[in-house]
Amino acid sequence: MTERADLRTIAAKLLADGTVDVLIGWQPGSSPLSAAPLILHAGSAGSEPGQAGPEALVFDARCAMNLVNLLHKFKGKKVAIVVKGCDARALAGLVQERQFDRNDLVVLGAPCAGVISPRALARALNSDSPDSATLKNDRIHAVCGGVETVVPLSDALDPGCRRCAMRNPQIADWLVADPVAQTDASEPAENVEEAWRMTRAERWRKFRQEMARCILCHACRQVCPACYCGECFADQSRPRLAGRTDDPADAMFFHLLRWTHLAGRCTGCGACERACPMGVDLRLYNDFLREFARTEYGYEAGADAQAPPLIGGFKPDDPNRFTL
Amino acid sequence: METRIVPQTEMAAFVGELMKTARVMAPVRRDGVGYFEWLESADQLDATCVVPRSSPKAALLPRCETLFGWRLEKGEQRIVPPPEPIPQILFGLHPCDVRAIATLDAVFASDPSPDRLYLARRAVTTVIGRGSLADPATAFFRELGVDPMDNGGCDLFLAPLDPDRHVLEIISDKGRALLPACERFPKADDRALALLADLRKSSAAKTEANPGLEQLAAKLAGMFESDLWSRIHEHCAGCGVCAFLCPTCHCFDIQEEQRGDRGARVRVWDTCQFGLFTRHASGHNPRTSQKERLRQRIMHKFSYGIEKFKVPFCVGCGRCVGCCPANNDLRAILRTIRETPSE
Ligand code: SF4
Ligand code: SF4
Ligand code: SF4
Ligand code: SF4
Ligand code: SF4
Repeated sequence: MTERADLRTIAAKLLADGTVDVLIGWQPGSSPLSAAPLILHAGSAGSEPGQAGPEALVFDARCAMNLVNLLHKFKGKKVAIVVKGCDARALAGLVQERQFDRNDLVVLGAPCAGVISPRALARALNSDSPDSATLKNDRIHAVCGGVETVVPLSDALDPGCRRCAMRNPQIADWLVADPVAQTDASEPAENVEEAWRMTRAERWRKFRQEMARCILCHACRQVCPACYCGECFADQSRPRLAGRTDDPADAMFFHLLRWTHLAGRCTGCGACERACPMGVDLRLYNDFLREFARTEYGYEAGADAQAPPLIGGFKPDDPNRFTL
Repeated sequence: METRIVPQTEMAAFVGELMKTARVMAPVRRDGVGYFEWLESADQLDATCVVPRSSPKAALLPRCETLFGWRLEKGEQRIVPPPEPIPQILFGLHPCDVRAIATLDAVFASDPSPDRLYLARRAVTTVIGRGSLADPATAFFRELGVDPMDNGGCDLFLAPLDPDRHVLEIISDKGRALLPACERFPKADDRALALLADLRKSSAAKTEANPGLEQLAAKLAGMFESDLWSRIHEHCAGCGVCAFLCPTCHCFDIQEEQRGDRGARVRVWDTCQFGLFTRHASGHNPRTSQKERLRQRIMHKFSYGIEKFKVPFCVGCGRCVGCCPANNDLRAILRTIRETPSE
């Protein structure tokens, strides 16, 4: 059962009455149009220097990171967490994979009409370092190099958000805002369609170019809620499996193996691409994976917390056109 | 000191001249984002970018550098020395990035163990700085005593007068070697120089003269066991963004690469934010969580660096502030440290 609640009020209540030990949400960030995670502990919330309390919680288009990633740090505790639609799917995936017991979690669902992608924002402003930027009535007012520009918020949204089919979190205990209008996402993703229209050689060139940009900072993996292995293949050193040179083959190896591990698990939340400092087009390849899970197996990652995971399930009518 | 006036409209042509003498790394813009990159043509230059996202350290400490190569010849291993570095010009560095080179020099070019490869690259590097009259929103170099109009450490310096003109200051012997590329520009007149002196004065007035870094280092030295660390790491994702973009972070790993009968020993960027960074051969890891790793980053930058080399390993460029996916703002961390009562 999902009830409507005010974010700050319900957060304060959950922390005060001992329902949860920890609450993970958002607060306004320190650079223009950013938000930062706010982690509150029962008993000490807001009492230490430089630390805010539940009254600092916000939710809007700035809240781009996937907070479910941080859940792994609080295993074994009762946690309340603010989730967007895509974060909720990541959470459902973790419940499916038995990483968390749903009963240990209080899910505060934040209906979401899309979050700002630093990449889309930089493209819209032709700058990644505005002097200031504010969000007012679905418009971004930014000052870059002393010159004011106004761009519609929609230009700065993550392209994945535009076609998100689950904007209203499915597994929330409380909804902290009114539900938003749903989009129709039955059409295949444009970026994937476009890549299929390329020749094999063009696709390879594009892939090589994207991989050549990657500096192997591993931010994409570190912020991904589905990447939670105690020891990632990329960190194995006895013997070493993945190289870290600037040969694009090393980036390819890292990403291809990571994608193999994310097949049927990546929810397309886009947190990885928004974290990438080098502007690597990770979304395209993630969307390929999701498209594949959808068309070949009729599976949507995180859509159903009760279902077995794609890799752990078997349907007699699977086309079986893909084996690894 | 010799000075010239460079119109903004001539900047790309100037870079074109420089490219005839050496390879040039300079700010470019791709999809709205500034990066420091090796130019293929002068028109790639973005002359408006103040602090590009990627830093110029890659020119001195490449992401992947061959220490030596080897190959098997008739069953015998032959060592192949790394290629000689070629002359390079780093163009349009913000004074904070120039200061960052000084910190790299302190680590790699200083006794008792200067790094031969670094010294060789440094020797063929010419630094062309460019001042700035507007500070990026995420930067805090002034708090650390770095003035954005300071030409210290540069071979040539472009000091902005107004949006249309820079004064080109020809400072060192390496800078004078580039005179042929500068001679096309008119000499700066007294009025321009007087204006520049005024701009410098008002910039200096806004820059912290006593950043109190020794006190900060001393305070941090007593905070190793502080509760602070168990709080500020909680939302840090433990990625390499802050260190890989940082112009002063200089940690590397050494790895062996092999293909058939040849191979190389290379050094690649690494960071204290990675769990693997401190994992011993036994499997034991003294830094078990992000708490210890983030503490190391702060301690190394603001305590150990100052103690050992007399310079902080941070120049306040703000790259880690703007690009941290968790918005773990270094300025806020420093503020919290300053506000925490000494034990
Ligand atoms: S790979 Fe990227 S898009 Fe997919 S779940 Fe992880 S962070 Fe989200
Ligand atoms: S975040 Fe970007 S640069 Fe970093 S490893 Fe991932 S793709 Fe590469
Ligand atoms: S501070 Fe930010 S950039 Fe640095 S490791 Fe943590 S999450 Fe990554
Ligand atoms: S620590 Fe951050 S602000 Fe300081 S020099 Fe490095 S990237 Fe710049
Ligand atoms: S802060 Fe960390 S990565 Fe950067 S130089 Fe110091 S130890 Fe190395």
